[in-house]
Amino acid sequence: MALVIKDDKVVYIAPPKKLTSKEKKMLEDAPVNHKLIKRATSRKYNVV
Amino acid sequence: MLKLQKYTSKNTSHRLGIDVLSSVELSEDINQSQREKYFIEDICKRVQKSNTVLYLLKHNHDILGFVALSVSSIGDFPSLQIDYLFVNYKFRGKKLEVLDNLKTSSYLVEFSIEVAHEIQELAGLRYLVLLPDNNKLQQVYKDIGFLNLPKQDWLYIKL
Repeated sequence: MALVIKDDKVVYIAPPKKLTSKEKKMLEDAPVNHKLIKRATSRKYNVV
Repeated sequence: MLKLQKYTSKNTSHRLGIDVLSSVELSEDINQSQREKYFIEDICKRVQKSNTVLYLLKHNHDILGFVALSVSSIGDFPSLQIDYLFVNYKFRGKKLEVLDNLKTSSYLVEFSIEVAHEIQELAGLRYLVLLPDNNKLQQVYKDIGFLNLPKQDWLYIKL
C-alpha cells in the first residue's frame, strides 16, 4: 500500500528516492524467489 | 467463474468508489472500517486520473478483493508498486479452493508478480514494492515472500 491517513486526509507515499549505498547493495544482491515467481507466472489469470 | 475485472481511466466512471463500497464488507472495527472507506474512495479517484490501475477479483457474484498497481521506483530502480490491496472482510484469512488454495491477498500478490513479469518483457523493471499499512501486515507480506530493507517500512520482491 502506498496510502496513509494524515490529518483526516488520504496521503500518497512514494518509495524512497534516495537509498544508501548499503541499501542499494542489498537490493542488488537480494535473491530472486524463483519458486514464488514460477508459481505466479505459470497460472492463467482471467483478466476482463 | 473467477475473473479479474480491470479498471483504468478509460472504462471507469465516477461511481466506481460507490459501486465497490456497496459490494464489499469492510472491517468490523469502526476506525479501521473508516480508513478502508477513505482508501477505497481515494484509490478509485486515482484510477480515474490514470495514476493507478485497479483489478477487482470476482468469483461469481462475490468480490473477493482487489489490487491497485502503478509504476514507480525505489531509489533508481524501476518498480511496480502495489498502491492498495484490499480483501473483502468475509474472505480475510481464508484459503479458497478457487484461488488454488491461496488466501485472496496471496493470490493478488501473485497476480501482481505476473503483471510485473509482463511489463518486464516490454520495459525495465526490477522490483515489486509495497508499503504495509501496519506491523501485522508487514509479517503477512514477508510470509508471502516480500523482503524488507533495514530501517525502511517498504517491502520488495526482486523480479
